[in-house]
Amino acid sequence: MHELKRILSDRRRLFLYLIIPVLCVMLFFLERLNGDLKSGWRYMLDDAAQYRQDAEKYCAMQPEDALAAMEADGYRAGFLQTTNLRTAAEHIRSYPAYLAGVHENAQRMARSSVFGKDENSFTYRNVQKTDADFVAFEGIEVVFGSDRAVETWLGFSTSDLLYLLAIILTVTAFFEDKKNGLCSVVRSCPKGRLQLALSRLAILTGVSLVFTLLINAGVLGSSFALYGGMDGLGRAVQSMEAFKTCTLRVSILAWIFLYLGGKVACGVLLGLIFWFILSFLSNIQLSWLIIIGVLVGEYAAFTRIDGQLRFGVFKYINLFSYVHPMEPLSKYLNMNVCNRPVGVFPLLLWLLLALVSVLTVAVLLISVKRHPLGNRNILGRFVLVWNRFCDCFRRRMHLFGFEGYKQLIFGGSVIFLAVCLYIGGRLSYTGWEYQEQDHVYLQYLSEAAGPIDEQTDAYLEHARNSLAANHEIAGGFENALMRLETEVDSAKQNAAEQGYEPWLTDQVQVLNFLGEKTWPLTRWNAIVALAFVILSVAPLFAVERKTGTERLLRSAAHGRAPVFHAKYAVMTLETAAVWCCVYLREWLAIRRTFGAELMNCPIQNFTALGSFPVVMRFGTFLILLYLLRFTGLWIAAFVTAFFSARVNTWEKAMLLGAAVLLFSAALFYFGQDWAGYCSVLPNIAVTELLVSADRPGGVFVWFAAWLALAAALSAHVYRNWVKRAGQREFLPM
Amino acid sequence: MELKLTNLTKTYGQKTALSGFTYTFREGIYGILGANGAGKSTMMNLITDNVVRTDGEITYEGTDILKLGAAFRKVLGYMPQQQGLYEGMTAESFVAYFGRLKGIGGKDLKGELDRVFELTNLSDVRHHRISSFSGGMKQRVLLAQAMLGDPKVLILDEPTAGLDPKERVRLRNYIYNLSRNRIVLLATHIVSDIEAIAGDIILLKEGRLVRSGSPKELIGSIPEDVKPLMGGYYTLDDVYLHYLGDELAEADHA
Repeated sequence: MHELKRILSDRRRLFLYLIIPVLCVMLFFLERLNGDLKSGWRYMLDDAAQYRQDAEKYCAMQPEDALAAMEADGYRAGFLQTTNLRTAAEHIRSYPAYLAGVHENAQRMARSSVFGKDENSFTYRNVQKTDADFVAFEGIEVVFGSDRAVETWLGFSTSDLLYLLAIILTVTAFFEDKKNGLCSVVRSCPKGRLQLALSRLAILTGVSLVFTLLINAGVLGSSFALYGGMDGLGRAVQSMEAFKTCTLRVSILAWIFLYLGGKVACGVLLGLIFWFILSFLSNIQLSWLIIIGVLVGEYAAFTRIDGQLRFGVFKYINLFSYVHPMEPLSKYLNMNVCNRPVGVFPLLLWLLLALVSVLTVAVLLISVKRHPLGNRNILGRFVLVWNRFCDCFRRRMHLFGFEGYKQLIFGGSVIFLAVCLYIGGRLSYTGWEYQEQDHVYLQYLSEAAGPIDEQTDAYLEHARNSLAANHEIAGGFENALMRLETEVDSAKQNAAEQGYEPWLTDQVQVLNFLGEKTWPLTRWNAIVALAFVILSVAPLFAVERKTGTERLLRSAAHGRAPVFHAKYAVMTLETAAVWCCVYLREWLAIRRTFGAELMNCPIQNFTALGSFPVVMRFGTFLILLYLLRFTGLWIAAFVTAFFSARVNTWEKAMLLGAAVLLFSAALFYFGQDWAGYCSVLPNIAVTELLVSADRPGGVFVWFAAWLALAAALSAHVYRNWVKRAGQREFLPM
Repeated sequence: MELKLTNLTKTYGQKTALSGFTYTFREGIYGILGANGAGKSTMMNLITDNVVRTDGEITYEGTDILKLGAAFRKVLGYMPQQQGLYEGMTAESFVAYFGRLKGIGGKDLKGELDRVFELTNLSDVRHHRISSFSGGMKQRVLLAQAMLGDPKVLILDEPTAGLDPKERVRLRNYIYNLSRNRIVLLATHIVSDIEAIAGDIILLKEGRLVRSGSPKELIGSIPEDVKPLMGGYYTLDDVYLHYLGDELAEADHA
């Protein structure tokens, strides 16, 4: 109890414990919103309501009737397909045939000359084992029902990672006495060995249980609230398409409880593995390095290796099979072990029990028997060699290198940038709000798109002649062609008036990138980039105050202006890294989407940019757009650096950055347009500034004003760091 | 070589940390003695320009150190009282970083690193992370960075805190050998640190200069009616207690 109190008395840890379940539910909804917080809610709720309505209607029918009714409601075929109702109905209808097929397949293969000749082959044995194991399905009655809630819950893998974080957080807390040099004191106490270790074991189990329940209750509850389907939990688990090969004869509800129980055990196992590594090795940092290395390697094997291939064993006998236990618990999987098919689920289960037992004994023994001090540091020699090797490089680093090293390693920016790289890859860059329904027109457009010249005229003339020769199909084609001709004329006229080259382009494609309806998307991406700039720049000056090295630095000959310049250079580099993670990626994606040829198109040809005051090509416009976005991020970095120079920990700098920059950005994002005047977000999103610009100076005056603010703040920081001495922070905490 | 402090004053709100301090330092070792809160660290921070002075002037070779800026800091070696270190760095990386901050680069840096690690007896552990060091070793790392670049003005704030007797003697001898052609200011409240090596001792109390002079002069300044602590003869401890430790001295006399 006292150990638990100690663990929870750390405010930061307690905050993280509390935030994990909340964050999990938030991320769950965020994933449903597809990054569009503003209008995404409406889409999500409409979609969920439509699904519930459809599920109520079709799930009351027999699968055949339901499929026929769905066929009749053909206009929503796409929706029914994406919401899996159609797949579920087809699965129920075809399930008996599927099972019969497995049996038939086994018998056919046994008879066939290819497999029948080699009864020792893995394939032959696997087919026979599958047939034997599938006997478990005899008599199972599958029922058509609404499965989307359970499928959505199981498909949300981020919750598993957050759960892993809670486990790591707990195990880290066990080693605080070692970190603070208190382990000898703790071990000298009467209850400081076995009893403490048993308490920690109980805490680990408790945390695993509580977080399994909290995280999954939050996500599953939200999923049921959206899509319904709680009344169908009594059906056999095989009623769900994703579980058609699950050999457990249980209901969906029972499977959920089994899954949660399995998760608790997996959490304990993962905790024990980390605990064992951390207590076995003397060097904590090295232990973490090994843990990170193992996690990265295991994750790569888990995600990259094909389970059916020779190295499939590394995919399934993997730590992440215990982090994401959904697949082995829901699917019938065999792997190839010395040409024999071995069931993945039973193997993982036995391994889980064996590892938990062995590791429990191991950590208890280490806690009781192993002396914390004076042990041989087995890997210490290697660490020393590594440090010596790194020191060779570090010794040669200049101030900029050292500042970058400090910022990335001690400030932790490298972690934030890695997360930014990951999240940046999951952002959407173009919307789907604008859609062209006229497919004939689209066909004409795709053929005629490009600069409007003699070739365009020749193409139109040819199309017109073709239509004249084929009266019977002229109806829809006539309208589409006329629309194209009108657009060509209009483009020519506008181009002649404003003095640019006319082009025929797909306006919808451009609107989905720059149109007003996609602005929430650009604002969201800007918020993500802004958040990472704040996170990575926050330690810039605060790291010196936190480590107490500020006075030492300032007393050195090059410890003032040169350090200031180096820090700002590092800040700029970090901003550029965030920009690359989010916007360079977007730029390249946009170039790929639109094609190299369109880069030469004058932007006035696009309806979205028709009133843009300066004639320029699309490629030039993109350069301007992304440079301005970088400038916007840079301004945010300057403001964060100012906060960092005024407080003594990076957490405070981050908090201030979030309160000032992110809060105003969030207000603007949620439609409070007035907030745009005091938020840096329009400078990062930029699109709406450029699209609605009617005078060339407007945007630049706006940017100049923000840059002036950034310069003023930097001058203030410069004065304090270089000229003045001993400034007090302004955020007492 | 001359470092002159004239009417140096520092106040924090209502509290005066240093009041009208005037002194001229020339080549040699100066021991600054005083209890905690006497103003020793404030004086060090003022000389290193880490605190804004309220009043007064600090000149080096006749020019205000604020005007000299980096030129003054180039001749300055500073070891602060608190152990401000990047604990995740190795000792070599940390000292190399300060080498860069002092404008030492290339082969010079390598030579300097070898020299200061040898002096501070850290050569064997220079590639170890600072977080694995004891308090005394961390103190030596700070000392190593202060020694970089052969500073003309060396400011050591409680340099022997956390060092074992052997290291203390070693450091004392090293500082003594250093004192030629440079100014060494050594702030401490441990009398034995400076007794044998300081040419002049400055006694500070509540931000004011109480008395200064060579150890012999200070010992000689004790009134004859004061009983020596050790019985037969006066030591600097008697001086310390007489001038700075009112209550204890009074109790002894009673």
